[in-house]
Amino acid sequence: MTSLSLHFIIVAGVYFLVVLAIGVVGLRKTKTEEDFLTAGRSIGPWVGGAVLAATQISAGTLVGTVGRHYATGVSWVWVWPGVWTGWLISAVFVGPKLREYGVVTIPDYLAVRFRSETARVLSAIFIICAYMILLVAQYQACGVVLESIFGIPPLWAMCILSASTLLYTTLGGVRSSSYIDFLQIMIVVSGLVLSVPVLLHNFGSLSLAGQFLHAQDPRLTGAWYNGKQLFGYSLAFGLAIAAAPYEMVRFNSMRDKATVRNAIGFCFFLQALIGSCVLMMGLLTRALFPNVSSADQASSTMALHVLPPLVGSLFMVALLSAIMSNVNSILLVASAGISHDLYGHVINKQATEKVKLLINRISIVVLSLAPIWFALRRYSDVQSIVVLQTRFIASFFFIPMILGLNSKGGNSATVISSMLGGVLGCLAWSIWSNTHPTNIDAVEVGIVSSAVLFFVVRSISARKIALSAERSSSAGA
Amino acid sequence: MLEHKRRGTIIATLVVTTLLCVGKAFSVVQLEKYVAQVGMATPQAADVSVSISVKGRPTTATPAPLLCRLVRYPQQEIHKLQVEDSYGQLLPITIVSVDGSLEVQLSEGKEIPAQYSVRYSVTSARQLRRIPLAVVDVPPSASEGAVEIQTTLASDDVSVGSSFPAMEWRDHQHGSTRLGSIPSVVVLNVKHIRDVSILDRLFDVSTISTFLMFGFVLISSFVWYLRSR
Repeated sequence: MTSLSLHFIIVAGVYFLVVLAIGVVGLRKTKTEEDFLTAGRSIGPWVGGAVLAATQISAGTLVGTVGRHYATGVSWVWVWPGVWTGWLISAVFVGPKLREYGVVTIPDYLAVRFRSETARVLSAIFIICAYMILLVAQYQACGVVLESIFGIPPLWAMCILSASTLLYTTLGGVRSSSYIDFLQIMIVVSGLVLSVPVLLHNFGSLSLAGQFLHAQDPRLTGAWYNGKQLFGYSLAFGLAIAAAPYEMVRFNSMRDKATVRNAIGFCFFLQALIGSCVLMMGLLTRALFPNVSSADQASSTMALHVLPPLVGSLFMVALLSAIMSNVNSILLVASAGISHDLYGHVINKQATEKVKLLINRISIVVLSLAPIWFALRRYSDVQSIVVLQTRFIASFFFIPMILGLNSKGGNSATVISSMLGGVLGCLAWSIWSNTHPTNIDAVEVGIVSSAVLFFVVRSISARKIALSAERSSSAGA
Repeated sequence: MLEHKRRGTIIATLVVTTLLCVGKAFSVVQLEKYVAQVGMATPQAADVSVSISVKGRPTTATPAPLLCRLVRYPQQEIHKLQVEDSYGQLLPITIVSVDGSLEVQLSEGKEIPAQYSVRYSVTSARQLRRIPLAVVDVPPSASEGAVEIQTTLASDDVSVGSSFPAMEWRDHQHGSTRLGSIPSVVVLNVKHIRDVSILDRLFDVSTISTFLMFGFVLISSFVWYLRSR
């Protein structure tokens, strides 16, 4: 156990008591399934913006991106414009329009828009699978962090994460998690903003840090990745954000279209601040600790050995909270796929609200335990797992969501072929490019195949409809 | 038969992958132990002695292998830098000075020993606050606390404010800490015992940043509470 441990226990104890209290309040106010999944559509722009930022900022950012900057230097920062473009697309083309549909889940929307229950089932199953991958990244990060603080085995850390997230997810659903996310993002932002001057104070000078990094490896201050690679990563993150079910479902909890736009604007500002701080953290931690055993340990090393004990503890609590928040969002979306879409619309259409709520909570428990096995195996670093997941999400959802919300036409065949074509194209290219490296990212192949299939099948379907209408009218005549 | 063939392929793949992973683990060089002793004889000068133990296959690389790297602060001088093996024999080294960094290379063709020591002195025209440590390009082993730093101050001096890394002070002169990886610098704010005041404890980085963070969190929570009513 490290010297940070006692401070961490006290700070974490207070924080989780607050979370528990908010969860209990949320439980009292949650009566129906819609209440559970959309918080009665009562969230305003400031809390909404913080929620969107908190949902996206997770282990992928605070462990993965810090670690990526630690390992590869400045060039990874060029992925952020892709993320911000994704938010802009979401603000203009997705969020407000989706809010107008008033649906509860994304498979709901696809079923309504394209008149296809098959699309509902497929998208629900895909969300569950893709988000299990994202959960693996969160659990792995949690294992790394708690192992650094307490020296406990990763399995215990993951069980602690699972148990604590289950508590407030099952109690209050979206209503309680939204207010917890606001608190968490404030802690994350303050921790990140404060860490930069502390890191700089210890090293002494930003320009000297740049020179020292350059001496270690010139690519750290130059171009570790080429433009094509950065474009591919940027595209994957941006399109996944624009069509991310666990982000879009947060729109459903906001009051109206205008609230969604304002919330995205506030989220944008928070992300710019966080992205700048994360870059500086990664680089300065590399200057201060040039050889940690893995890049994923960069942020916990910084919190343990650079920040003052209470600040470091609060930062680590916020980091764990960010992981919990992300796990919470993912579990809500994935469990809704099971209870609302698969069970409520396919298996048992007569199910009551009470039964659906129960199924939802059981699903959350099961889904929270499954990723632990994979996370213990540490197949890759946190950021790489997140990148893999964003590629699949973007390839599956982006085209059907964007074109579904912003164009007319298209039916069941259109959306199914687009979704399947996108993810299969991405998967096939990922496997092929392992042995045949190219400059084309798998997400580019996924998006193109999804788009091509969408347009081709839509025009074929439209032609068929026009032909059969002609035949009917000539038969009638 | 097809099923047997498939099973055989899967097992063979698993065996080969396992062997590769195990083989790779054994061939990786890791830092086993790193002990740095930093002695501040005066507020403007420090003597540093670092003992390094490395496990795994040593490298003989061309160009000349890198023994260690130090941060080169503009207003500091690093003197009397020498490297010894475990028998006390001096190793032939070349010191390369680049922007921001001092690189200590072993002469070409020589093998980096599994254990060696690096000694040097650091002086500054003004008060010496940041003492560079010799950083090796070898990842630490998984064992916690592979890196140990010991500091010794002059008898009338004391460390005020927060140090980096955070030290545990046995008395006002001797401090130590254990870490999982090597820091590139040790930060100490040293003053004569008679010159220490309450302001030194109030206005240090640790206190200021702690107050700022908790203050911000409390204020933003209060604002959120007011707006949510």
